[in-house]
Amino acid sequence: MYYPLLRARQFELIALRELAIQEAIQDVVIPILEPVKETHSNLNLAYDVFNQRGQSAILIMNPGIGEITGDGTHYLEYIATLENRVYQPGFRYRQNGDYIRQCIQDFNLQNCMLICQNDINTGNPDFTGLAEMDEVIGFIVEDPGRNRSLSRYLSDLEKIFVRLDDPFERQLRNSDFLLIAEHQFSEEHLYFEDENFTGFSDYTVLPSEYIEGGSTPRAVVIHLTYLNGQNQIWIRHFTSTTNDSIANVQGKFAEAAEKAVNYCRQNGLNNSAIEELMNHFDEQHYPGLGTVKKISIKNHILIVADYLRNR
Amino acid sequence: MNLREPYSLNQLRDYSSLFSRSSVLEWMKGDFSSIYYKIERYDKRWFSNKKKCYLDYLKHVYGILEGHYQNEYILKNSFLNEWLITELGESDSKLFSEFRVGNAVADLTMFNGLSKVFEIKTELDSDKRLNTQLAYYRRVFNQIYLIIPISKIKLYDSYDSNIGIITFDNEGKQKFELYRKATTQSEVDSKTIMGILHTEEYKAIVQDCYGYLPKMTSFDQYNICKQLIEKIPRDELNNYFIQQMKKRGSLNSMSNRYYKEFNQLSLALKMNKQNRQLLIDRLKTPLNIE
Repeated sequence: MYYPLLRARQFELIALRELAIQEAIQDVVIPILEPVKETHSNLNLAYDVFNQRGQSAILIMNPGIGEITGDGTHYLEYIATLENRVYQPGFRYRQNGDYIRQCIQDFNLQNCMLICQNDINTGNPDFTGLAEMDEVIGFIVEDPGRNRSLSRYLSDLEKIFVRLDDPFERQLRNSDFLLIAEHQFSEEHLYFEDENFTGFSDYTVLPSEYIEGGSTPRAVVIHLTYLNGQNQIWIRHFTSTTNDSIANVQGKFAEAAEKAVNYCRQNGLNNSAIEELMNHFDEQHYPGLGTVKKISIKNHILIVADYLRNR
Repeated sequence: MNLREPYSLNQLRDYSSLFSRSSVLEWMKGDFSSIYYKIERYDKRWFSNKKKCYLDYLKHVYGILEGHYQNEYILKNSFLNEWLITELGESDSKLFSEFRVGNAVADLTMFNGLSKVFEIKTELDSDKRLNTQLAYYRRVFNQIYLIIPISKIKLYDSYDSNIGIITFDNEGKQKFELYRKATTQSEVDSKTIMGILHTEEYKAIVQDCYGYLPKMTSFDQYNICKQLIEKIPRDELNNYFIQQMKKRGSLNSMSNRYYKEFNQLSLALKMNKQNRQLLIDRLKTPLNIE
């Protein structure tokens, strides 16, 4: 199972809604959503689609970023109002076992997932007491190879155990991607089971660091992943070339899209995300940077989902 | 910078962080911890038995900074309050803070009948980038003003006699004084202006000037409009440009009567009247100190 970790923002959720509507991911992908807004409107829209299409997601109850951060009850109260269990509760564990236990009790939670750093001491009862509760069914651990005691402990619990990697290398400026050649992105989908994980997770083709807002970029980049001959996932960063000012973002998109579309056509790459990109390009239509991001996310999740479905 | 007892430089710097974008964004979210930290650190005695609100404290701090620490925020704000707001006059004039022109970012710009740019150089600023900045400003603005400490006149006087100079002197009776008036030029450069205009703005200029928009797609509209705008006589383009800038964004929500300590923040955060009112209302919450 693939667990892409995404911020619950507008275009990330649109990507997931569209994938759910296409029934492209239901049995192989469970997104982890970190809410960053106080309002629930985007989550509600996704809930309706997921509910109809049999897609579930893990929703982080105590986000580390965004408008409502920390160990509160804002999102717990939200999921308590929902009829069906589309959103499974997830908690960021940070020495806050008491808080999580209290939430499980107060909100009568089941099927909780813990998202953990790899610095957890398995001798710490704050963690083990929680990890061994029946209501906690799994763990997503950042780079777990760095804490083998933790890995062994979690494997022995025989619950869901997911490794979280951060393969996307953010650049200081978007224009820096222009110089970066295609390179290997990830291969966890090939080996996670051999290494005793139930699933794997990453931030798709977005940086793990959260940046609120953002200004007009000097360069437009379309990040596209694809499988190479050995089924490894590689990435290309199709980058605009006229990057000396912030003017004409539409023209920059045209430059980046032209490179991406040509590459996909020459190499026979196609899925619903690439098709959408081709349509915008062929119609000479600039869809906005949110849609560019959505296309990159959709493409990556589709690459992974297709691999998992067809292996 | 003018530094007098009893405030240490560190304290003044620390105070000045209250008048920043990040602090305002926190206050808007209802997080006033930045204010409590400062009170705890420096002003336990300031909080008398009288009921006071956040706004009272910020005014108190602003007063200290104004008298003792001329950083860019305080200077810009004083300049807005003591100079530009009165000059602003007409209601459809527009002011912008941190206005991007090519690779330069202008401190303050004003568009009414003319376009004007104000570049502030405090005691702490060097003149290293000034020539590049001026080169960009000349392509776009009708008048250029430098705002400099009175002690630095010699350094800036010789840069370009077409540039106006306004001096400031914290000790003087009148803080800002006109040292030299700027000359006016209206020959603007279409290429630099294209770099400033948003899509709807350059389309509007083509529409206004030619009476129609050619057939374009979102990929080629920039280049098609650019070519058409290049053909507009430079002084006419100047007027079209000013017209568009006056329409950009919401109305400036500044006041030289009420809460003038926050004018520059309102401008920098592009606050409209409602947002500014919301901020002021939040800051009127009584301080909660035992």
